[in-house]
Amino acid sequence: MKIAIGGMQKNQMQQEVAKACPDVETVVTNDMNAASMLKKGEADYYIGACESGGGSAIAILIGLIGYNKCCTVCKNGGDPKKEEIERFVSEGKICFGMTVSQIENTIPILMQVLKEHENK
Amino acid sequence: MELNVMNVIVAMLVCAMGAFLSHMGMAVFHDGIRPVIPEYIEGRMHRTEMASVAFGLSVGFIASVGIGNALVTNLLNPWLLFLATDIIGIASPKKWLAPILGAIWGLICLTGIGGINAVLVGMPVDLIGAMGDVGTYVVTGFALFPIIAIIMQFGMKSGVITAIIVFVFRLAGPLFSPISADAWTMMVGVITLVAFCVIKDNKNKEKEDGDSLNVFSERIARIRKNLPFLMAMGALVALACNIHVFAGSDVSMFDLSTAYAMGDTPEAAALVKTVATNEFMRGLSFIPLIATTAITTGVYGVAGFTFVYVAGYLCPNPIFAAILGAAIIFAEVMLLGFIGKFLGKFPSMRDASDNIRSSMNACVEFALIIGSVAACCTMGAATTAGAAGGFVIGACIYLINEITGRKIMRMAIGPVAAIATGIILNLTYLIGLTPLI
Repeated sequence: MKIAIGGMQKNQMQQEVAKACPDVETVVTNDMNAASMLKKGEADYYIGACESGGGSAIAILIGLIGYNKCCTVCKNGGDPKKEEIERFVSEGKICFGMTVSQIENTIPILMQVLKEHENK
Repeated sequence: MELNVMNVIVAMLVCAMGAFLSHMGMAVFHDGIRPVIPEYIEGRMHRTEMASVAFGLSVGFIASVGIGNALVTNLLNPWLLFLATDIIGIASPKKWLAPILGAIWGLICLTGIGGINAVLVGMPVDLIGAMGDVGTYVVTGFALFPIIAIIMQFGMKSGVITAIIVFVFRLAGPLFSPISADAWTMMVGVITLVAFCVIKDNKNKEKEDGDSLNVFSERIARIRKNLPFLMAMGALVALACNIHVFAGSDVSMFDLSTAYAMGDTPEAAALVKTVATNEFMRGLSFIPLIATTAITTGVYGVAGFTFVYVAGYLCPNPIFAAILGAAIIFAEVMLLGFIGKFLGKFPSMRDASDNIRSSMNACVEFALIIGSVAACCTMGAATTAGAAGGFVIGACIYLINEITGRKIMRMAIGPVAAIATGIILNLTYLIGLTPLI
């Protein structure tokens, strides 16, 4: 599994992913570049953070990859919910936006769901 | 904010136009709603569904940053006005209804915020006066953002070296020039950041596929077609800034509030200039985000690249502000295609932009929390609770929010905690627990 990271607080995002799943390969990049990586198959998933979780984090991905592939896993002022993230992943979403204030809570749950999904 | 005819009309017009632009899918303020609009225009999504997306994304911002900051500064802000007009415009079933509802929102905000502010001013424990402390370090804190951005992008060592260079210039610069210490701090930092970017860019000169952006010429054409409406909005926003009812961002609003309270003094004029410089810098960092979302969606930003705010602060009178506001939007839209191509060629500029926005947030959040704690202490010190008593209330509110999953974002919790502390101290004053000293 290879994950492209864009948006705000990229370094923190990468650290959290490494903490949750040390064997997952991550690339710190930007949204534009990540979109082309996804298209070429150089990355399997994209994660990004912004203030709201649905703004700059996934805006470009929605434009370039498509709305049906993108979702917000944790909104500003909300909590990440495992069932909701499982539903997103099973619906085939590959670009995940989240609010910067909940990165440390959201990444472990998201990574767990993605791992379970990959192992199915 | 005075409640006069001019202010009321401008606030209503700004909101009416904002709601209209959003209804027509011409421009929205929230960067996250922009890419959803083509889904509606191209028939993959219902208006009601889009409205619920817009509501979900924005309601937290309106409630915390929007209302909280408006109460503290007594100035309207884009989160309060434009996030709401995004939702109002999208949710309106009819074209004519959007501007009417928007205008009503503008009226509610202006009278509501002004009214609540008047009540707060009349409180026995001085809340509004103490709120002046909230913004004390915002300008200085903001000036540190390039250092943090350098650490994020180029590592700890580069960042610490930059910090030392910046500090030397901060102390030495004002000795031999009329430029302020804060201006030196930011200028040296920004130059160093750009230098690091250029060096890195020259090292790996891989050509990225730049032609992907040509796909978007249709979207750019759509924005150009809407230009007259966008220019009208630009004029209105600049006008609202110019007549002192509106501030563009968390970088500017606290100091503008202070400056406007000082009246027509040279210090106030100097402060407004510093604020305008900071707002301009913030605007630069948002260009990549706003330009790319606009180019990929065909939907523009309500305030464009936000340079219209700067025009509003600096223009000598409302007429100039309006004309310049419209002209700025015209220039921005004309340059869109060029900016898109440029960003396509230099992908590292987008990286820097992400890091700059992260670091600006980190710096302003920190400065606001320190300032808010100072405000809590000032209010506490005015009563028998003492400065530490004020600190206890503010710290409790902050920590509760922090531990329970940060329901209120970090940018807003400081001012919100300070307002709450003020209200609590006034209540305890009323029951005789904390008499004034």
